[in-house]
Amino acid sequence: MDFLTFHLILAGLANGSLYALVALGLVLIYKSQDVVNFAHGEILMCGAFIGYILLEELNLPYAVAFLLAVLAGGVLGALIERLAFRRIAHHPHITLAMVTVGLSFALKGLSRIRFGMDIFTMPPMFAGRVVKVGSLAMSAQSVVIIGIALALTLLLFLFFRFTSMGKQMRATQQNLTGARIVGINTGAVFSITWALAAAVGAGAGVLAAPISLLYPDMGTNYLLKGFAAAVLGGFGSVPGAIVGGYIVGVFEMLFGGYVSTAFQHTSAFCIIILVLFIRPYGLFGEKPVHRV
Amino acid sequence: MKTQWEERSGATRGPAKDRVGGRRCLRLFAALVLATGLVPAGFSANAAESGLTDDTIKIGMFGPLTGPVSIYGYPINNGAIALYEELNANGGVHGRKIEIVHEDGGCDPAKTRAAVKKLIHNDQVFMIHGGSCSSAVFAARDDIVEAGIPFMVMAATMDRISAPVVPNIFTTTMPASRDGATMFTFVKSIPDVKKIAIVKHEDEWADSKSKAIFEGLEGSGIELVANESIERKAADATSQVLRVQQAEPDATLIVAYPGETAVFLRDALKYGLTGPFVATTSVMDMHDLANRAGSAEAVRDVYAVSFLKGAVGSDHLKEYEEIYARHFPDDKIQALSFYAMSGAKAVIQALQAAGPELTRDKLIAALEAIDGGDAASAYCEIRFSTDSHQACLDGTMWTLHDGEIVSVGPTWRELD
Repeated sequence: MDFLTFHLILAGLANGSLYALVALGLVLIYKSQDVVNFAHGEILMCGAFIGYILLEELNLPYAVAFLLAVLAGGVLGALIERLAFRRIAHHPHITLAMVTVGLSFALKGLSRIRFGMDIFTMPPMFAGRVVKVGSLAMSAQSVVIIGIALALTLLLFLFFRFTSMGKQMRATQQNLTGARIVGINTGAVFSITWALAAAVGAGAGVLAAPISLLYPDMGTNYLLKGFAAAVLGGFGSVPGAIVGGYIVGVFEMLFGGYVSTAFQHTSAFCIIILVLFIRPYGLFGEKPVHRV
Repeated sequence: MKTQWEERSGATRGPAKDRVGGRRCLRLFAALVLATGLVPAGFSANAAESGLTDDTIKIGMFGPLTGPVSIYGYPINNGAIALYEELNANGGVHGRKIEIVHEDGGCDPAKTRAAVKKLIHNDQVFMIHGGSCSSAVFAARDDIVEAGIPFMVMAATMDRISAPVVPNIFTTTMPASRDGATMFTFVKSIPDVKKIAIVKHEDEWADSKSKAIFEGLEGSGIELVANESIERKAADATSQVLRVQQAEPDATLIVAYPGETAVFLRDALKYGLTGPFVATTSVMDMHDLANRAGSAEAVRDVYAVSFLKGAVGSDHLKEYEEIYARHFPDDKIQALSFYAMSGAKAVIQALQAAGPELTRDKLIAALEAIDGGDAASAYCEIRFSTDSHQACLDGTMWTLHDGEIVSVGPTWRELD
């Protein structure tokens, strides 16, 4: 593999990891409550700023700052579910979606109160360090992003597959009424789903901050790319969200590197249109079955 | 029997009443038209000098005061306000104090047009000094031209706002074409530069700057080996850096906003793409650029066009830093704080020259007559004429040297 292709793919995987994490958060909430969380970009932004405060103002080690930011993101998600969604969970989906839009503006506004309109920079975990594989070198930060994203994905997979709460969450996602009948505390399931989704989003924020700069509007681009990844993978499919994220990340890099940088960012959306023409339910989505 | 209206108005029935009633209707209609701001432009321009009293001169100001771009709006506007407030503190001009009326354009063309219309028709300002976003100001240009109200561009750089000449629009902000031309003149003067690459945004702002670069390339003997785009808000410039690197240019010109320039330089450092990098006025605050790029090393070989007398904190700007701090003690002083001071200085000079019997026509004539005026914090003298309402066309190049911003001059020179 030549120098150009290697670095384009590596950068694509690093960016794709972030898109995958955002897509994962979107899909978790969508599977649980059938609502697209338009505030997910702002949850990412909150995670990034929390990480910044812990790292730069409280001078905590990067790993501690990362874990605390993820934890804080989880608490934020649970609070959002409990305070903003629990009472209106039975309302039409459009109402819930509009609440997430409102939340998005509220979180941005709150962050502006604390941070104003300035742009902040967050140092990477391993500034300037390079990891060498044979004759090819890659930045340590890219390796960290890819590694942590894969680790978070694996942890989530294990959680859903092997823990009691994970199984309860899957049951609730598959059949809410059935879950209630068998005694599952669906309120707690919703809270934990939101907490997990927000924690993943906050983690993505801390990883993204060193490469994207910190400002209250930083989440918008990630939300769009994460949404694109989720659609490409098949909205509702967890593996689809992950694979979709990596495809979007790598494709836009290769397109920019080999075709044109002018259409680099729109190229990801073009490939989605193409895929959806062939598989309208996405790469990993299931063809909907209508019972009559 | 007379009605109450007839008793109050003195109107009578019959033809005379019809005439009086007709005139009253006409006045009522005119009042309504004025109240709703639907005044024909020519009428407004020729009306008595609105926005002017014995004690005050009302100046309208607009810019991005909300939204993501307000990060640029406030410091730029406040720089101009600081000079006007300083004038007020020293007694005003011919006994009149400056009164500022603010409107938010949000860097949005539609919103800016509405803001300008409100300033002209509702607030009835005497003149306008505003506009930091080129596309938004350009959208409102026709309204300003039609109204004939004196307009000093605040910080928007698009050439077509102030050229070709229209009687009432002036600017002291270096036009985009001059920014691009200054970049190219500098690149051309660097020894052994035969191949260049350009990395730019795809918008009017970048196009108007890079047009001068492309024009300069013709017949210069310098080859353009890469022409790459970078998206607004881009968080990654891997593709651009690697493509430029493959093209092996002798120098790279970056026509992008500060955030994206920083992202490109950060990734250039990561992948080993070396300079010199030549950038626009948007990144003249090179400490800020280094901060955004994550290290001073990333901006080690960067040269940016500047239209200021000196860097923030330097002796050249000391007087104006003190003025700014006096009126906005809580603000962070940055390069943006000085962008609009030259325009304010030109307005103040013209107001003084126009005399106590101030009219808009006199102000426009006084502006046009400025020849060698003090440009406050800007690196120029203000010169307007009937042929050109663009002043401060020349810039210089800045770079970071031993941690300090230093002026290189308009052409290349080796620093000690």
